[in-house]
Amino acid sequence: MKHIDCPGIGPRPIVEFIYDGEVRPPAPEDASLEVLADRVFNRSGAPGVLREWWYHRPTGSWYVLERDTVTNEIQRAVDPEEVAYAIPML
Amino acid sequence: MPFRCSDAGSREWIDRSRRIEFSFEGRRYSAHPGDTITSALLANGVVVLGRSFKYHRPRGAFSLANHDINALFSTAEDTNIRGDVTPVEDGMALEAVNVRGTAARDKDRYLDWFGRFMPVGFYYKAFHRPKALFPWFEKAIRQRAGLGTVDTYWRPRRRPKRYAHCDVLVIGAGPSGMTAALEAAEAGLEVLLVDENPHIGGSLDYQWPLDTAEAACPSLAERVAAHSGITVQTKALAVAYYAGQWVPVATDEGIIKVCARGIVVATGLLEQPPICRNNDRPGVLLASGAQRLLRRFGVAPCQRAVVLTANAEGYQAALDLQYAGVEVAAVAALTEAGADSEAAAALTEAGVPRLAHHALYQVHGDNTVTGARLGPIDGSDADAQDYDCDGVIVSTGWAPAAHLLHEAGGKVRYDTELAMHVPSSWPASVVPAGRVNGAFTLAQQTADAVNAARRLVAALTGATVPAVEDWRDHQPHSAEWPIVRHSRAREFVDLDEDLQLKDLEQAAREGFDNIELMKRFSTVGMGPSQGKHSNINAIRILAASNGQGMDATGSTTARPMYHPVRMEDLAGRRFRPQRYTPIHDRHVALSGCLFEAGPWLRVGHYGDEASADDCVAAEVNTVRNGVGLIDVSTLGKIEVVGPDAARLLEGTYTARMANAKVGATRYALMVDDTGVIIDDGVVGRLAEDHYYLTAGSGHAAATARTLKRHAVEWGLDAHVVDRTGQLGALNLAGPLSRSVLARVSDMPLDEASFPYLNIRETRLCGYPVRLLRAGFVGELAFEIHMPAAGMGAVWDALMRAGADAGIAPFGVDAQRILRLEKGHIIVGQDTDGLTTPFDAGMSWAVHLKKPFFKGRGALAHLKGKSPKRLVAFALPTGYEGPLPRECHLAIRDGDIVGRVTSIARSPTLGRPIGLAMIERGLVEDDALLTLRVDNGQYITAERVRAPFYDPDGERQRVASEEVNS
Amino acid sequence: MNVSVSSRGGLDLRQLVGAGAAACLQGAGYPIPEVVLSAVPCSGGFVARTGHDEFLVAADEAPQLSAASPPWCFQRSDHLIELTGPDWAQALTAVCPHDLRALGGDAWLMATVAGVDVWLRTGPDSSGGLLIGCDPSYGHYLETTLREVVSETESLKQ
Repeated sequence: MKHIDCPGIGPRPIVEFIYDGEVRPPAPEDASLEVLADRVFNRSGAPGVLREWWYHRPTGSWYVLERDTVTNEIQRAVDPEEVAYAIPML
Repeated sequence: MPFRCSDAGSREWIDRSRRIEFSFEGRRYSAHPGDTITSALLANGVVVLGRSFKYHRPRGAFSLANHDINALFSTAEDTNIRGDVTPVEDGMALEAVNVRGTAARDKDRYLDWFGRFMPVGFYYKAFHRPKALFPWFEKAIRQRAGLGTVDTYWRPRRRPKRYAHCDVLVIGAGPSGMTAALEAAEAGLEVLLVDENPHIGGSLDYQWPLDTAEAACPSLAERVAAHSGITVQTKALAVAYYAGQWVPVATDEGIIKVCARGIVVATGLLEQPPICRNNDRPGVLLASGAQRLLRRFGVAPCQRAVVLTANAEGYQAALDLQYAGVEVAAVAALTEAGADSEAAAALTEAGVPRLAHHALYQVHGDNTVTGARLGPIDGSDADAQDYDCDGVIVSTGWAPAAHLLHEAGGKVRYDTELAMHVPSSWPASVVPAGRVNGAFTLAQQTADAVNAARRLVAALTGATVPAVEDWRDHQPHSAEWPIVRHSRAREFVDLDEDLQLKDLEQAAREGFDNIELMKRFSTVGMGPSQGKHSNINAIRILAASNGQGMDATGSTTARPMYHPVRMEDLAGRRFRPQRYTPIHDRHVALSGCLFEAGPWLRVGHYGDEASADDCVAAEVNTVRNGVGLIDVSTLGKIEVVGPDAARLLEGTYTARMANAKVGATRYALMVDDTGVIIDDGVVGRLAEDHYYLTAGSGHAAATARTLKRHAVEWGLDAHVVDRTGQLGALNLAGPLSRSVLARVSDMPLDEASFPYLNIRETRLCGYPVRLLRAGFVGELAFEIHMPAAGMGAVWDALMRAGADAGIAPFGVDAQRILRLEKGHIIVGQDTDGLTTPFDAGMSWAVHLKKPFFKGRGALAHLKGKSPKRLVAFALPTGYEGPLPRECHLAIRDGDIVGRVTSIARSPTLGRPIGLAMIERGLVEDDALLTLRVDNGQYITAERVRAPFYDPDGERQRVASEEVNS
Repeated sequence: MNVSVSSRGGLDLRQLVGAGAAACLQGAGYPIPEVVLSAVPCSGGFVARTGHDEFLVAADEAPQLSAASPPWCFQRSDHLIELTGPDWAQALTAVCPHDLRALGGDAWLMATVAGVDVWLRTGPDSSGGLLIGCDPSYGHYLETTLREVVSETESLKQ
């Protein structure tokens, strides 16, 4: 079974993870329909190093991992603060 | 057993002191324990063991190395049993596969004469015209081509898999593997040594002069067995390499998935046959196959042999045969290699004629070998001479068994000196050792294995990795062109698929001149042995045809698994986690009819399956008129705490959550980035910084996960605790629910103290509980959430307290009808992957005034542009016609305009009611809905307003801004 | 094969989350594991650190901790299964891809076993046995599966 070497919890079988796609910046406020549709439906799929959301079920925690999608190598765990953004409130 | 040698070898596998009996095609034979099916039959002089795939040619033993796919057998229980490696058992009743009649007199043997009508790729070319005849041809071909017949009454079996971990996995327990295992174990690493054979020893069993092997093997094998750092697993075939250094090892007890930090591939070589006319006749044997027969089973393959060789191994095989009493009629030397070996000298001394620069022109015999024609390499048929013999032993080349190395990312190149492929690169943690790496002599193998193991150990321990030492042999062991063409063809390249030299040449001529294309077009290497004896010759033929080198021709890709594995082993154990609610035993005791709702086991209704409809209707009536109790423990139950809890929920759900008062609940709708509904539930505020929320049964884990991700993504100080399985929940519903609950609770339950859509914390039966005034079923109702441990006590207390009020448990079926009568949707049933809140008529739950929530952008664009709408419909009272079902279509003017999402006969209203998702344009216009039901019938339903029942919510004492807005 | 499966009762479990969780536990006299995803023994049970400010406390008696915020304290009803006997790790190879022999004593691992998320806890001597905790709703499934696996492993070795 494939393993993900996840910094912090060590190598783990991939079945313990749930993949949640690439880390993407928030959509611009009041984006046009075209911009929004592009953001919602399109992904580049190009090979390279991606920042991705990985959820480890047994520990119930999220990780942002930089993964080379060509070699499948996990390069590092990104500090969540690096990807966090504030949301506006009423 | 006329072919059993009188002398027992020292490394024999058979137990000569005991005999077992078995039958083949109805005739009884005897064997020794330790015999394989093939060795037992050959010992009894049975040479024709099966028929070939396409032409039904007689075939026999060939390699004795687990790729004799023309010697497959079947028993009453099993088929395609590999005779060359499967132990014969006492009482076994064996039949040949792919024959009509017997293997020796197959009624389909005439097919051999039709070979010219079955050219390469004939499947792609023939039988297309006339089209009408194709089914006839298809049936005829399917009946005659193929292997064993599958028993369609076969009962599925599963053999559990296991995981194993080690520092070093050594694959192959021959001289190199054993040496490498010892070297790694001596360095303190934990070693797992696997070998497909029942005994360790590998080629030491059979391929070396007896005295050499004797000197090396006992000491190696004994040291391996005695070493505490080495675990030996025999009858264990490493069948693949997967990312992360996982190697599935197939054993008699199922697959072991081995995760190894380092792997030594000591898989040795696969012997490659020469190609000439009738090279497939039973009696033609690879030299290593003959040696396995001789030394492992004490069986002489024939009485008079002709030997063809291109290496020292061939001379040794000839000498072994002679020693075993086989008369060697002649040794034809295809190349000079091995002519200077000790074995060659011994043969000359014994007077065995040696024909230098001779090739095997053809093999004689209609059914089995009766002779061989040998001639000069560059000569013609006129220069050739026939030799009478009943066996032809061939030793013309080798190929590394480098499949696992390939799969691990290793590469091979063609070594012209060895006339063989050798590994050219490999990962630091997966190393070849021994003959697979071109080290041929025992001394070379040992030195190569030591070097490989040292490099691996260094790589694993972080030490400086020593240089790769070259212990490869420097003389060829393979002939560059072991192929002799015959004017009447029948020179077989692939014995699995009955492919001849001319077939591959024709494939190349037709443009399939790339090795991968040639493989797919001709099917070379696609049979059960996966090209283990045909790939190299196919590459040689294509290289010659293209006028290019071996490396330029390339090779086909070795994919996992490289050897067939039984389906029951691949299936493994079935893991099907099932969830029980905390009071599962009470449901069973109450004759609850259980069904699977995702992983959960839930009660559909209580009572007889046969009278389900009546039971469900009775349960509905109980809730409408008295009081019912349902186990809703499958609801997602999530705590959200922390200073930013409100902010987290505000950003996650479409409605406002931050302004909810402590003690209040809100309906909560979750959409994704595209604005599609993905979950709904209730959010209750327990404190400024503490919310408790529910989620759909199937979506609880996902909702908790999403909330956690949002907390990280939005940098919020909030904790999300998923307590779905930790807590149980009940819904006490019906007009009498308040009075029943009051009997067990000391909390004031009146409308003023505990209004509709509120949440309170209290204690019941000594357990901390939370009460929610919820309205899913449309009656006065109390949802009670408590620790799983308290569920039984609370359930029992409520059932007792409600006994005189006629309390009864109700199941999910009744709950679904109750909520439908109330017009409440179920996410995932009334909505699908394209349904927005606007489509579902829930714009009241979407607060676009909020500057942000997940999916807000999409919903802002979609507002007012909803293309479809969920509407309610009903059939007349007393309707007896066919009932529509979920997903039946709404039709208008012949076009599909929608579909039914929910439907039920309402016991309360006395008529069928339902919801349908229909095109927006029809919502205002049409008062009637045409539905296409089973058997293409059309029925007309009346559009009505939802809720069907208690539209003003009087019965729940509705007092909520959300529902009114 | 020396391993047996049994249900384990008698441990009171509490989950503590939120800022100040460590201080709160310390104030109540509990030892605190320094490293996230590790555990230390305490009165008949253990304190496991499941996150930076998340703890799971298992003890003979319910820890007397304030349920008020913060930190928040939740009762847990985990189904507890005890594997006893030195061959427990061998038995679990049928259901868990982790190398459990490497766990050692006083270990804490949150992993997937037989498709269910669980926590694993060894005593001071890892050869003695293993305590497995899972969501109570999966308890019946997991315990049944482990009993099957143990009896199969036994028949394998005969």
